[in-house]
Amino acid sequence: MSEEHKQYLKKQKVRKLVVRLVQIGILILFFGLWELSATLEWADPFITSSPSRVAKSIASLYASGDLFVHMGATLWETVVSFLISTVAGTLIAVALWWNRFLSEALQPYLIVLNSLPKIALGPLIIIWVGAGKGAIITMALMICLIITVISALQGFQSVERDKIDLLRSMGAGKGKIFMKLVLPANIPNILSILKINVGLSWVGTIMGEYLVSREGLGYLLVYGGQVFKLDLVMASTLILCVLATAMYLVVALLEKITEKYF
Amino acid sequence: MALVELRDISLIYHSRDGETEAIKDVNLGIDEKEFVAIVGPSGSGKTTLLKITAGLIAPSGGRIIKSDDVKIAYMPQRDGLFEWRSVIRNVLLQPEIAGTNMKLAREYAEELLEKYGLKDFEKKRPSELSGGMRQRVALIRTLVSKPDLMLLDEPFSALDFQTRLYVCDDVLRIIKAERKTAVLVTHDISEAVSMADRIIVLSSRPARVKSEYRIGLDKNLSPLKRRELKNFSAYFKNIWTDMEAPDE
Ligand SMILES: Nc1ncnc2c1ncn2[C@@H]1O[C@H](COP(=O)(O)OP(=O)(O)OP(=O)(O)O)[C@@H](O)[C@H]1O
Ligand SMILES: [Mg+2]
Repeated sequence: MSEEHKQYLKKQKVRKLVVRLVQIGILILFFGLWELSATLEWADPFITSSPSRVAKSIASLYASGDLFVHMGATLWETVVSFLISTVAGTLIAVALWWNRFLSEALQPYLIVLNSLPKIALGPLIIIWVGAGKGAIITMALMICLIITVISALQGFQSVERDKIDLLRSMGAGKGKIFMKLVLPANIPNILSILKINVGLSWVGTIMGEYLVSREGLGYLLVYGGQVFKLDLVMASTLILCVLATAMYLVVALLEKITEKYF
Repeated sequence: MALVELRDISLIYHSRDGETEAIKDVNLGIDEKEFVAIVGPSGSGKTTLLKITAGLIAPSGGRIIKSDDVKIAYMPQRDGLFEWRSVIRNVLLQPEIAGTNMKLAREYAEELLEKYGLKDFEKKRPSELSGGMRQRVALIRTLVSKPDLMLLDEPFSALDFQTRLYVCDDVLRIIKAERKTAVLVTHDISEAVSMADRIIVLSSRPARVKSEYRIGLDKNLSPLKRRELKNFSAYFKNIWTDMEAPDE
């Protein structure tokens, strides 16, 4: 290894360390200033809460045993709607890819459904599905499913004509063309859909919980807002940040693993 | 008797904006072990003609006469290697799809890779190969199915001029060594003259056979060497004039 390359590696290492330190610094600074502004009463802690009050709020949730109930409820709804929308959305896209006629016939409906602000369906969903977990998951599905279908289908249909012809000349039918070409060529696309769906399924679930719910982080947020318990609102927001990031990281890990094979 | 014969082939593409007559009354026979080059201006219908021969598009008129056991392999205009597959798995695509004996296919594929200098790249991804190597891999992929007729659509168009000359040599050497019949589509006249036994000149769209040349250059020489022959430029000039001449 040349001296220059060693220097280069060392420089990169130092740089990485500095970036990490700055990242941690920002975090400390943020919470520090927040706490300070509350103790020195720059801002009314009743409105802005403070890290220590948030911690207390989380501790009391934990003590009453409610913490994991709420976290579990929201997490469950999110994961279920994430899985259903990804799997069902991809399967629907496969069906539409398979049957060009069907995809053309359904095109305008997909566009309408995609443009519709899904929250408008809230009242209908509550009446049709009932005011329970079902409604929350349905809401999240509405948000994720259509966009999954549209993006997956677009990926499937943009596979090069030449390559399809190549497989056809080898005697491949539609099924083999899909398995050997369309699907593997779309793995990166599907992974990026997964990443988008992680975010969207959280949006959907929290939106659903705003509409109907007796438990969950969305419920805590609404309840905290109504009774002006800003500590609770901040605590729920923070927990939400952590959970959503964790789920994103799981998908990112999955992406890394599959990238090795594709 | 010809290995494959196109009789009165015509093709019209239909689309919302109207119809495009791509091929008109093409008659063409390809003999066994022959290397035929098809030249024609860009957009004349060369790819279309090849796809019809490969059975990928049904002609609007005319028919293709060949016996059922004539196996045809088609190599598309771009090399079309699958980036997510290693070289060897790219090469084995056809046997995998046809469900033929994988062990035998693998042996043959490895033999070909070895013979044509790709043994060390067997496990590599196509993106790690040079343009010329990719072309050789694509050619071997076409050979693995042991076709009787190979249809090559501008196999060299993605290469720079110098690489192109060498890859031409490679490809012809491989095809001759494996004793294959081949049809090569190109719009590069010098490439066609240096490689082919016979050249078919197509008119501009709709493609008709404008003229045909039997190339009498020494078949034992490589394409690169043939370019230096005295007759080379004569053939080139004739075909060039022919292609430039207005279609009757
Ligand atoms: N699927 C299609 N639908 C409608 N028109 C088409 C289609 N494919 C090709 N054409 C038209 O048919 C004509 C011949 O196309 P083709 O691809 O066979 O030409 P080519 O000689 O191979 O051209 P190039 O030298 O650029 O590869 C062109 O005018 C093209 O626009
Ligand atoms: Mg073409």
